[in-house]
Parts: sequence; C-alpha cells; structure tokens
Amino acid sequence: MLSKVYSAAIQGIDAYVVTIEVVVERGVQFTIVGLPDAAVKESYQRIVSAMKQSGVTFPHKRTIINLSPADIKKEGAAYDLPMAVGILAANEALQCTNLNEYMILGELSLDGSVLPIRGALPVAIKARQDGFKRLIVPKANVTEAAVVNNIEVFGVDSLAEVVDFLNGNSDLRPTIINTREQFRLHAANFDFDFSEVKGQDTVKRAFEVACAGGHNILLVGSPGSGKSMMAKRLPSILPPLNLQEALETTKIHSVAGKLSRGSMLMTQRPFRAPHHTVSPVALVGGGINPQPGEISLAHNGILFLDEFPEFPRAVLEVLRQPIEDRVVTVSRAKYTVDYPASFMLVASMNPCPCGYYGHPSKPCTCMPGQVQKYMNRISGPLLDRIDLHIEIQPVEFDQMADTAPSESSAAIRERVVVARAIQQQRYADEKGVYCNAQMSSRLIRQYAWPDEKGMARLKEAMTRLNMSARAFDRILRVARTIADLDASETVKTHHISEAISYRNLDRGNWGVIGNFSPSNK
Amino acid sequence: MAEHNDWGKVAEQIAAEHLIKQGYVVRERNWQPMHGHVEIDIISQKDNVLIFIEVKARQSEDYDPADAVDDKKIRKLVRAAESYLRSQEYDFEYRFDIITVIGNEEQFTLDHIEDAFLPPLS
Repeated sequence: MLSKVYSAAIQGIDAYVVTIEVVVERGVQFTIVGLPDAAVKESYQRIVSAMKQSGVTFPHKRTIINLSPADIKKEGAAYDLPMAVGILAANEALQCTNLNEYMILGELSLDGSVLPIRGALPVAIKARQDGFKRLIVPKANVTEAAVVNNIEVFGVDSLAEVVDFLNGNSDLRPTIINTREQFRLHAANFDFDFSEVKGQDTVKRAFEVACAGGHNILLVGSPGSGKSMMAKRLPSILPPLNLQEALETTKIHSVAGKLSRGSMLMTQRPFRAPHHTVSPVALVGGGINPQPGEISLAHNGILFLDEFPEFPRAVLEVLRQPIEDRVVTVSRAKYTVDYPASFMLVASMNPCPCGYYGHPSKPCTCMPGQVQKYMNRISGPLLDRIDLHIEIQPVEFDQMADTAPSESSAAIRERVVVARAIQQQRYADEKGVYCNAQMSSRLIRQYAWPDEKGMARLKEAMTRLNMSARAFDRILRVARTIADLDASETVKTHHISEAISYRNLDRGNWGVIGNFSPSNK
Repeated sequence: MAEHNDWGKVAEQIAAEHLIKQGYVVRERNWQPMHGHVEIDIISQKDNVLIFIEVKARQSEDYDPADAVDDKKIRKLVRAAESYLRSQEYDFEYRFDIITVIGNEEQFTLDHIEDAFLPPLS
C-alpha cells in the first residue's frame, strides 16, 4: 500500500515542502530514493531500532521510500520521524485518515525518542503558508515553532507518542504561545549595562551616536582600555527589535541550529564576536551544506571584530559587499542562497603593534613606519565603510574607584529610540534606507547639508587636519545623526564639530611619531 | 566428501527437526533460485511469515559461526529470498534467521537467532 507524509527541507533560510511517499509491498528489499544524503540513508538503522523499542513492528516486506521533489538535496536526520510514520501508514498500522493535514519533522534515536532538529521556525512558517493544519515537531523545538500562530503545533518526545497520537489514543494538546505577549515580556533583559562602565564618557557618547544612526564604528585603543568590555554592552542601547526583525533573526539562528531548547523568538539583538582566525566561509556563510555565516547570525544586531588588523585580508574584504547590500548571496555550483546580513559592524584594534601609540603614560616602542604599516592592514575601501573612528584611553584610577553609577543603558537607549524614530519618518519614502548610515550622496545633500557656518567649519577642519575626501560624506552622515539626537531639524556647526572629532584615522598625521594628540584634549 | 561437510548436512537436519519441534512448517530444503550461485538452507513458514534460514555448523567453539554470515552472503541470500517471495501467490512477510549448531552428532548445542539481519539498504 502507498502512503504520503509531508515534511520539509531548508534552503537558505526558507523551508520547502518535501513529500515522503512510502510503498510497502511483496518482497524483501529496502530502498530510499530522491536525492537523500548520507544521514538520510542512515535513517534505516535508526527507524528499525526506534520501531522495535517503541513496540511497533517494522514491516518485513519490500519497502520503497521516495522523497520528492527529487531535485532538492535532502540532508540531515529530520526525515526519520516522517519516514517512520509513512512506513507505518503504508503498512496499515495507523488509523489516521488525515495524514495529509500534518507536516512532520524529527530525528529518531535508537531508543525511539525524538531528537531536536534545525530550522523548526521556517518550517512552521512554510507549513502555515501552504495550508497545513497541524505540525509535529520534536518537543525541544516546539516553542520555537509555536511562535507561528494559526497552526496547531504538537511537540513530541518519542515515536510511541506519535503513533498513539495519530491513532487517536492520546490527549496530546497543541502548544500555544501568545507571541506578542512573550515578546514583550522578554524584551528588556540584558546581562550587561553601561551603568557598570566608569568614565569613558566620550566613548559612550560615540556609541550612542553609532547606535542612533546605525553607523559602523571602529575603536582604537591600547590593551586594557576597555574596548571589548564596552562593545559587549552595545546591544543594551540599540533600539529593541520589532516583531518582524525578531522573526527574521530567529529564523537564521533556527536554520543554523543555534537556538537552545525551549527558546522562542529572540528578543535581543544578536552580538556575534568571531575570533580572528575565522575563515571567509564561516564569516559570510556557505559550505557543502550551506549554512549562514557569522554576519548573518549578526543580522539586525552587532558583528564585533576584536583585533581587527589580525583578521586575514581575504576575510575582511568579503565584508565589503554585505555591508553595502545588507544581504549576502552565496553562490556555488550546486546552489545559490541569500542570507540576510544587516548588521552593525563594531571593530576594535590596537593603534600599533606594541599597542601603546598615543598612550598617555607608556611610550610606544614601535619603529617609525610600523604604525602606518599596521594601519594599512585594513584596506581603504573597508575603512571607508566605517563612519566613526574613536580612540579609547585607559580609565584613570580616580574614575575607576568612583562608586557613583554612570548613566544606565536604558536612559541612553531612550534617546537612541527617539533618534531612530525621526529617521524612520524621514526615510519613509526611501526604499532600503532605514537610518542615517544608509544615506546616499543625494540624500546627504537633501537632509544633512549644514548651514553656511557649519560648512565653513568643515572646510577649515578638513584642510587643517588634512582629511581625505572620503571623510566628507561620513562626517555629514554622522552630523545628521547627532542633530537627530539633538532633535534639531538642521545640521548645525556644533554637530559638525562633534562629527569631525570621530574621524581620528582620517587625519593626515596619524601614525607619525611625535605628532599624536589624544582626542580628549 | 570431507568429514566436516557431512557434519554440515547433519546440522541442517538437526536444525530442520528443531524448527518442526518449534511449530514451524519447513517448506524447502536447499532451495536454489533459477539464477545465482546461492542456496538457502531452509525455508520455513510460521503464520504469514516466510523464514529464510542459514544453518552454520562448527565442530569447535573457537569462534561464533554466526560471524561467517557476512555482507556478501547477506546480499546473496536477500536476492534469493526476493525471487522466492515474488514467486508466491500470497503476500508473505520475510524474516532471516541463523541457526548455529556446534559440536558433533552425539553432543551439540543449537542456537536459533531469530530476525538475525535485515536486508541492506539498496
């Protein structure tokens, strides 16, 4: 007899329906066709053992399983459970007449328990889109899948439970989650807060500006000045995720298998900090079985690259296109997938190989030219995409010992949210532009052009500090954000002045020994 | 014929008698398909299951005779069983058993491994 069970495959971050057809007839052989990979072929052993342990009989007859469409590669063990259900149905061991209303996914272990899978969220989204009424997933994934409303999601622990349920001998209830409610409940929990950071007011201000305008930021500072410590606290001042963003980010993490058991929607912006030994593929995504890379895992959040110049050139250069397009297209001979990658880049580095160039008390022991050589490890085009460059000085003892709490993240965040709202309104008609960092030259002319006095200040600064041409647009973008934080309609002189102070690396004299002037002078 | 081959024949007889005692119907002995160099020692039946049995005889207990049923042998047996099942009018289920007989005619131990292996994935 023939049975049909529906399951799903993941391509990119979206799911596709996979139909599993099973025929059980006279004979001996057991065959799986339809482009299964090794893990799918191994299902045979798991299914046989799981059935034995669950007290259902594996049909000792010729069994043919077809996974269609045959042109999509089926990978992983998520087809164990639907295949087992299909075999039982084809063997007339199930009394379920409405199998076509179910989408089923799950990996089986030898003892018949159902193990978690990857991509439960996109699967649930697809199942609802295609009009499936019920979804059976491993219990570990049920909360993640139940984020999708208007479909009954059942979490199961074992094959025996599924069999009982499909035979109508079980009181298994669908898991229901009030997505909006949960989302609101978990939105404001952060492990780190800016109130724990002593001093560093200029840096905090720069972070505020960066978050308010979605600007990429580069932190330059000697070892121990608190670069990483500060960067870790960035998510706490970014505007909260909205439901749409949360769904997208969770989808990516779901596909990558990075969600922990029982997690629902991600309510916090991701913070990804890959080590500098990361490979290009690990960073942007790809591989034999395509997986999203770090930049996609950082979607709608922060990608923190510590020790920026230590990253291999090849790795850094792959960042250029995704920073602009906010999506990365991974093309290989066998597949092409798009992964969203709208992240805020936060990079940190030492100013020179020894680390103490510009340090207030320790001398820099680098040879002349070494500082510039170190700087040159980061290509101009990449540096060009980073709007703010700021120096971090070590905190002085008096400030460190100060017990009075600094301004909390929540307070900073409030200002950021207001500034973002202004931008959202401004760019409502502009496609693909959501914040100041994405302004094109045309938009800069339209919205960020300073008054005459401001322009004069900019001109003066650019000539005196010997700034490069690429600094011009950057300064105006950042100035626009500062004006937004100030709730100012126009970009004024002091906005420009502040923006100029965030362009340390563009100064012509950077790296010339003896020419250094700390920014907070 | 060498002595140990005789013991093999005897062991098959012992196995068949054991099966009958256990309530199986012995349908075929030393069945060979039309093609292929393989022989199924015993084909028996219980209810709607056809049991294909490989009998392994050994004179010493030095190692488990069941280990002698290797991948290659399994594939051959499965092919033969397939053609036997197809020749039947009725939709039987299959089962592959191994019966090992260790010892000699006077004194032996018999071990019946039910559902010893499944057909490999093809």
